Amino acid sequence: MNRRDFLMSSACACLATATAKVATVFAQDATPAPARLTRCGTPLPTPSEKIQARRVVSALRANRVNFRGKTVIPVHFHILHEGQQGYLPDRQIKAQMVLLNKEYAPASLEFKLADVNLHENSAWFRHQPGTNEEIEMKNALGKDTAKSLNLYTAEPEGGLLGYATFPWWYQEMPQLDGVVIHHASLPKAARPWVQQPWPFNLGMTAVHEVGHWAGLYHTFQGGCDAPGDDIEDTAYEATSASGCPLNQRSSCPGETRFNPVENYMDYSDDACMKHFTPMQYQRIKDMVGYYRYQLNPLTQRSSLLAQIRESIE
Amino acid sequence: MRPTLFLLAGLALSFSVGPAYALKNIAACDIVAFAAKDSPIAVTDAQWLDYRAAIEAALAKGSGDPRSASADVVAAQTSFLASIKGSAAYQDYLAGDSCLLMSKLDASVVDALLEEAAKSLPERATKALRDIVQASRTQIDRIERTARFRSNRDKTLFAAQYYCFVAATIAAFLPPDRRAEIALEDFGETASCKEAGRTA
Repeated sequence: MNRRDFLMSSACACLATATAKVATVFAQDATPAPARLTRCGTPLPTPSEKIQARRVVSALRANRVNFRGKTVIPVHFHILHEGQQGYLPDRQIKAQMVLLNKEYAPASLEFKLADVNLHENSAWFRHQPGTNEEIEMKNALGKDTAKSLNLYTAEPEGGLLGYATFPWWYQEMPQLDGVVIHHASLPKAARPWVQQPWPFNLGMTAVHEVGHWAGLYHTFQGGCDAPGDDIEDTAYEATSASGCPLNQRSSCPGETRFNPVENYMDYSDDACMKHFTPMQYQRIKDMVGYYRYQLNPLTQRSSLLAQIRESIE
Repeated sequence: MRPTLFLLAGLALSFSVGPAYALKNIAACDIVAFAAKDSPIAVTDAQWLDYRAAIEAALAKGSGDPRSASADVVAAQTSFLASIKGSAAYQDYLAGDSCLLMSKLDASVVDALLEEAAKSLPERATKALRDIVQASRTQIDRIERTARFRSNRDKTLFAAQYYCFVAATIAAFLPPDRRAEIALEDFGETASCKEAGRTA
């Protein structure tokens, strides 16, 4: 179903369900009501993580859970390198941390550098996700993944600037949890990266990947098909952006907004990336608060959250 | 969600030892292309039979573990192409417009072709085939949803490794007449090798 079809077919259903879902008690309902953050009335995709995330949001709202306090996240910074290749000075690490803290402050997340470690290993330095090298690297270096962010810098192959794990993967594969970014993506490099042009050196890859780690999808997730990225205030986007194509209307039928090329969760150049939306910040709070509850003593101790988890899982 | 995560978790745990985890092979798209009636490169029936036997043996050897099977499947695909790769015709094919890569797999087509392939396979081999196809698709799905690529071209080339592996593995078990009429485009969306930047 494309955006136009969605708008036409679901308008009435949206109105009809809007009031009903306010009173939904999720734990007693085998067929959960649509979550507020989903695009109302759209058919759900095949049973998937999206449905699970919707159930979580729905249950949080039904139980009036709001994550208000600040969550301080220790960051274990692992620098993979091959000789001088990949080596990063403190200046760049600090600049990256400043940027992360600036962009995630509205989600009440604060990143605090716990330690920085250098690891010389050619195979881990140049690896692809899903390979033995990724697994070995994370098994060997990952620290306290339940209560911290493990951030690896390397030189991932295959045109990758970075990759991450979603919070709902944590329970099943905690040893893989974390974010991997290209070492040349950090800000304040003294020299330009050898591959030119390289419009990815302002630190936005870490912001993007931590977005995934905190539960956000790409803005172009699902293309024009509902529910897209599961965020109401980002426009549907047929494909990922490249460069900085500002002020282009979405090519999705029925979508009147511009493509969200300035959003951190698109693929635009770093200089083009400017913001998250309010609903993305809300989703980050929900996903981190629910799935990464061990990061915060308050959410870790919450009996209400424990009950909700039990009812959902 | 659970089955997928358990599969991922199982794969992840098994990564720490054992052979390389190879659920990808970009050159495998050529195998599907060469099966077509109008293929620029002729492949004999004997070569196809050998290819099918090698893939079947690889799947059987894996005994339910996609990790164990995948490296042997890639080896069988590489072996199939080895005798062709040195030819001028192959180089022309790579440089020409007819060289295509998979840029998107159509899930319903994959399911339908798996059903067709299953008709000529014992139950155990069918399960192994389904498992390895699922493992490859799960892996690239996981990467695509959380990765940032430098460009759409890089993303296409990266994903094609997995999609080509899937297409050629399934194609091994299609009857000769079906194999001849199925093009890469039938598996989903394609991109030209030149546009995607494939170099080998």
